[in-house]
Amino acid sequence: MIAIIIKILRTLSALCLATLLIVVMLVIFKIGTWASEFSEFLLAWTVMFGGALAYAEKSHLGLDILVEKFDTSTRLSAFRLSHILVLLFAATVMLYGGGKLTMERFDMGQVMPSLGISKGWLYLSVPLAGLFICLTATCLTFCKPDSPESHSPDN
Amino acid sequence: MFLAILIVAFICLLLMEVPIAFAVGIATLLAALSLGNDDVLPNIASDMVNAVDSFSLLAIPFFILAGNLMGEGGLAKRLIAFASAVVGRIPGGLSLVNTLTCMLFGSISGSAAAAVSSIGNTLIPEMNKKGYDKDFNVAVTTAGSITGLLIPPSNVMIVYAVVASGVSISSLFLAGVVPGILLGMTLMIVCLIVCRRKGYGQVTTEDTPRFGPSLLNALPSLALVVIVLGGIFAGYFTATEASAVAVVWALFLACVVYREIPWKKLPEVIAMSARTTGVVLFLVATSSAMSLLLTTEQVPQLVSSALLSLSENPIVILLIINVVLLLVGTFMDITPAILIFTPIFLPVSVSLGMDPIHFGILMIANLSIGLCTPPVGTCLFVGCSVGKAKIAGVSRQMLPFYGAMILVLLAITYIPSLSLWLPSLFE
Repeated sequence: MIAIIIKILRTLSALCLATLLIVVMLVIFKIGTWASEFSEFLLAWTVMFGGALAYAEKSHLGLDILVEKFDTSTRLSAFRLSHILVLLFAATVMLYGGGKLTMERFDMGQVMPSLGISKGWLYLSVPLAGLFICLTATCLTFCKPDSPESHSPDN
Repeated sequence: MFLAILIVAFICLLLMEVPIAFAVGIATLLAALSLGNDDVLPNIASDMVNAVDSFSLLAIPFFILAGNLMGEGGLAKRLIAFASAVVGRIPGGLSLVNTLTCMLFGSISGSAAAAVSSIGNTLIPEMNKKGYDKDFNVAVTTAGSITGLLIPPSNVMIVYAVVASGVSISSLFLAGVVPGILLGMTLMIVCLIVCRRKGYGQVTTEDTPRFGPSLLNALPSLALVVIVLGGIFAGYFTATEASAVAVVWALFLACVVYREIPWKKLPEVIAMSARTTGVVLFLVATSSAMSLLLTTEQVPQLVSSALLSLSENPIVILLIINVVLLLVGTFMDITPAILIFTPIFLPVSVSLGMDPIHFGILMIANLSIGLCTPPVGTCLFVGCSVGKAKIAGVSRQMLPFYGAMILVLLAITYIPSLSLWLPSLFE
């Protein structure tokens, strides 16, 4: 399950980043004013997918020296607890809050000036990434965790 | 009250191993709920998107991508060969090679953790083989890596420029050059002293590469620095445009000149970069939400009046700010710390007559020390995992380097021209 989520997120975030590169080249060669607005739009999507991907691949920065001192079963419950907290954040702020925000923007008819599409499309990135994080967190809470040593912080 | 909730929640969440980006978000959520604000959930979501919906921040994914494209190829290897040709013959040379490579790498990639892992992977085993102490080798690499945050291009400078609105990224980049080189040189002096005392690498070997060929080999990579920084400083392009040009050049080098990355592997490198972008900018997203909450609750005004009631002397206030930031840096990563503490401390410093560019360099130099200290120190963690060493042992070897860093920090704090001289030449 996690493997599938990772695959989807890798593809989506890589596509966003690659398109972003092309669009910024258009900005540099001054082709159309829509390009700079579109590039900001794509950045938001790249970050949201990338953030969800980083969570699924356990690349987010965090502390892991305190829990290391405890035995395996305590560690396991600490692990579950931390994933449940992430799940709560993703479900409330990102999925519900972001979803509400997106609906409002679609209803208000607020349009991005040079792209001419609803601002809702920009905010849609949050609930969608929230959904992926919820799925990942659920899997990580209830599936057997692989070795926690697979932490690979990058910054 | 809400401040207490914010701080306690954040620390508890960190201890429970919640990733920092989410810990910041959840603490903000709890604090906002305790204030009884309306529409807390959609507001945080909207703060998160608005924070990353920015043209300036676009430079970050591209510098990451360019760094990865170069790093996946043999960038570290070529830079190490070049650095050995320059300083390798001096007694204790490998530790100098390490620091110099970190500086060169920093001027290409803009991320400190990337420097530790790519340079450490090659140099730490080699130093171990030549009889240097293992913990010392990890310490040298960790300490050297943070020079890259001051030497442009630097991702954290872009983040600072975005929060301290009105500060130009190009001027910040220029301002970081002298402090970055100064820090590198100071670290090298520490290396020389430690190596002489402990007798590491005192027998010079004859196998250092020749200067000419190694320079020629490293030249296309170093050309990236000239293209990017030259272009920005001469005013040809903005930092964002320069970062995109850097990607194109790195792509050309990796796939055409050095041919170290097969086309098939390209999507993987792009996905990896998107993930790192997610790590850095997701932190920016949640930290901005926290920072906005603090600003609406007038925390900056509170802090500045408290500071000014302690003393009106700029020297004392800057000292207090430095101590607070050093403490913050030990348990918080540099990106959220910049986002949260810039709005709090920048207004006080400006009211004391400090230039926002100077303050940015101070802040980055200060918080980057925290990257090499336990309990939360990204560079230290990466260094220890690459060098297979224990944090306690490495921290002991870090002590002289911490001393050097604090010395440089004091110089940066109290000698503004270190930061401001170079940008003033370009105005």
